[in-house]
Amino acid sequence: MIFGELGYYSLIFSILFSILLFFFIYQDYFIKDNTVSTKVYSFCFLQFFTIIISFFSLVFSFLLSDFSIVSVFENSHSSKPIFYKFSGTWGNHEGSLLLWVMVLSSFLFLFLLNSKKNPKKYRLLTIFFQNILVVGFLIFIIKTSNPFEKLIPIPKEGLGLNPILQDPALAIHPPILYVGYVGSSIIFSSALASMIVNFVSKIWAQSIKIWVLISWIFLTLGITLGSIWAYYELGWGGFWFWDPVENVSLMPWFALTALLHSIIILAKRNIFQSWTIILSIITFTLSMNGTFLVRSGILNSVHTFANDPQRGIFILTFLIFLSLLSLVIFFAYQPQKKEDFFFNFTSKEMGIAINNWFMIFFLSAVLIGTIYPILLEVINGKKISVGPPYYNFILAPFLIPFLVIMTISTKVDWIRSNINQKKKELLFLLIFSFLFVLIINYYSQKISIINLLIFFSSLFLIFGLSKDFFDFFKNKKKINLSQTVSHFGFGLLILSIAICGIFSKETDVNLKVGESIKLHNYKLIFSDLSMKEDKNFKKIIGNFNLVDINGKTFHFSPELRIYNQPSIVTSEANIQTNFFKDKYIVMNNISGSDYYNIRFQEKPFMIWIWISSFLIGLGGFLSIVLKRNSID
Amino acid sequence: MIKKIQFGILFLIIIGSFYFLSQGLRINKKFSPDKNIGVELSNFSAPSIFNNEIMITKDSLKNKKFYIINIWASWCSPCREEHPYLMKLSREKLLKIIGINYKDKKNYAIKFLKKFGNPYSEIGIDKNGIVSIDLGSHGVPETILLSEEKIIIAKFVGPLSKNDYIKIIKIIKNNESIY
Repeated sequence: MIFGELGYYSLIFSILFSILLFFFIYQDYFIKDNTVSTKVYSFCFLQFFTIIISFFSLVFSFLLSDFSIVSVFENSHSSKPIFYKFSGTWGNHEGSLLLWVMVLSSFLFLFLLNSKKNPKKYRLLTIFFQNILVVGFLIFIIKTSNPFEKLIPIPKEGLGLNPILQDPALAIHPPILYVGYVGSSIIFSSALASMIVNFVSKIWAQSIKIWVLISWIFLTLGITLGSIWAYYELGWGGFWFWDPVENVSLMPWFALTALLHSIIILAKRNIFQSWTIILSIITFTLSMNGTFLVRSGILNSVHTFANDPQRGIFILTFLIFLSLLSLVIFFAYQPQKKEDFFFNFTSKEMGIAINNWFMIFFLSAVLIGTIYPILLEVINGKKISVGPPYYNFILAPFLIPFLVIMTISTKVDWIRSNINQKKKELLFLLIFSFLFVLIINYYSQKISIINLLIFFSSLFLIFGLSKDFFDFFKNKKKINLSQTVSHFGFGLLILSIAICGIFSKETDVNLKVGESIKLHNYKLIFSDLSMKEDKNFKKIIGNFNLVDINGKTFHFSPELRIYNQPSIVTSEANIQTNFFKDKYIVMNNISGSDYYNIRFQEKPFMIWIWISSFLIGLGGFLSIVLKRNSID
Repeated sequence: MIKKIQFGILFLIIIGSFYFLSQGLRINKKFSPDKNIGVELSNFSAPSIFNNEIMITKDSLKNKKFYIINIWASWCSPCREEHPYLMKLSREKLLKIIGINYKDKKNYAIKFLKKFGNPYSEIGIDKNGIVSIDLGSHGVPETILLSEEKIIIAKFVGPLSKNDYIKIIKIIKNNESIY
């Protein structure tokens, strides 16, 4: 069909246009005026346009089930619901890279349109660096992972999309995460450009802040969606597994969060110049690193992706090239140190500096946990896996001072503030949170000191910000709404994770139809099994009744789905959610017997983990919408 | 000067990580259970089910001609199927059987053994499934037959069948190893 050819050739054209773009940038760079030439504009647009055409050709090939294209054949099936045909476009290696380049190129174009107030040389150089990225990835796609590769003879039917990827949260998870990842590319390019033209300043920070915010919001949402998918679809009852593929999305988030804070200082007070540049470079390098680790198959992970060493070598070489390039530029054009700046120990600047230290610490801890197994395997061939105990052990204690300092620094002003005025308020919060923790401890013994302290510090933050909300709504006091919402979300997130982690109950039993068993305060009855045919799978539904201590009955129906294309059995958990807890039942068949393995879990405060993650992102969104400086 | 040193260090770090990561790419990630026959067992350590302070490691395999490592769980019904064969094997004098209790609850595991008998001379707990990864296992049940030198002679993914049992007995009786 025509779309295959159209997509392939417009991809080739986009490479040509991109290479010509280099030439026009070079030409325009030495013309002494203040406007970027129309040729640069046109070629940016042409590059963007051809990539869009290529991407939508792939989308249409998927929608029309054109099995003459390998990636469609391998990842789609004609009986698939239309929504999953659509999302199947980026559910595979080739398509997702095309999506990646599309976002990369669209950010280039958007930057060009939205930077008219900035100096010409800075704009041109930013586009130059961004174009290097586009070209690099375009060559990568054409050379190692052409999405339009032909298949002869044309098969009648496709192999189908991996069923665990057929989930609404996962369908939109990659595009959103990619906007976050790739958004950091424009920050990277403009950081390099601004160093060369000596533009690292308040004005640069103010103009780039919007990009930082956008990528941060999308990264936050993307990670949350991925985690929601894992919770509902993988059927393990967890939402974060410290799996390497999850870690590689968390690391740029830490860097970006640090950047988001330091860029506010740069925009406000023109300090932390080199540091902000370093963070901009680190953030994008980590995003690229994420692509490398995930796409090369170097990691052993629950997430299965294409494994091809050739791809790995290419991305790795490109990544190293970019790292060296930014290293050289940084040392050649490092922003000159301005005269000594001054800020007091009790000031927002100090709070943000501390935030940055913690973020870098969290980042390093996760980085070591992810990379160390690879190094060890190279050095002595040993296989190890770094799991949740490591992360809990190393991260949890540091959350306590982090949260406490976060609370205090939201209450102080720029440069120097009189902490005495706030002493009363903080003392009151301290006592209030402490009493709350005492109550928790009284009703449930056996909570470790660390966990109690995490309760305490997150409550401290939540109460502190609740007071700000109260002032805002009741007393009409001016507060920074976006900051308060995000930080409140963060406090709530840590609190919910702690509650969920400590008070969760889990039982594993083997039952057959008609049997019942006593679990904690419940009685679980396996009443019967039923079969149902769906569009592209058969399902076995287990009917369970859960009777609680007051005789109230809850009905559960977890499923086993038998997909025909490809033939895979997946188990769908049945989760019942309310504001206080999730009840979770998942069943698995035990081959060659009438017994089913039933896992029952009770997870208090589960929904608050999602709500608070969205609150964190909402804060960023408010900051864009309210169009004010994030910290006043 | 300081700048040059900083630059040099960062440069070396980047080149170093390039080297390590590209080496990492070359390691073959796909391994099938048959492939590592003839390979020495890698080290592992798991706390004993009966006494938390004792660790079951590779060194716990001693004083016998053959060893079996059996990964099992009380919730796994194929483990029940193969259990009688393990019980029979446990009577072999040249053989020592070590169990790895996979993602299980301690009291369920002990109940299981009380009901069906305990063929294991030692049992290590693998609460998170990490030990089994170290052993290169695919899941439960899985049985690894080792020689005196702790070299993998045979690997059985899934429950032991009657044929598997006969194969193991033959190997032990002939005192021969096939690799």
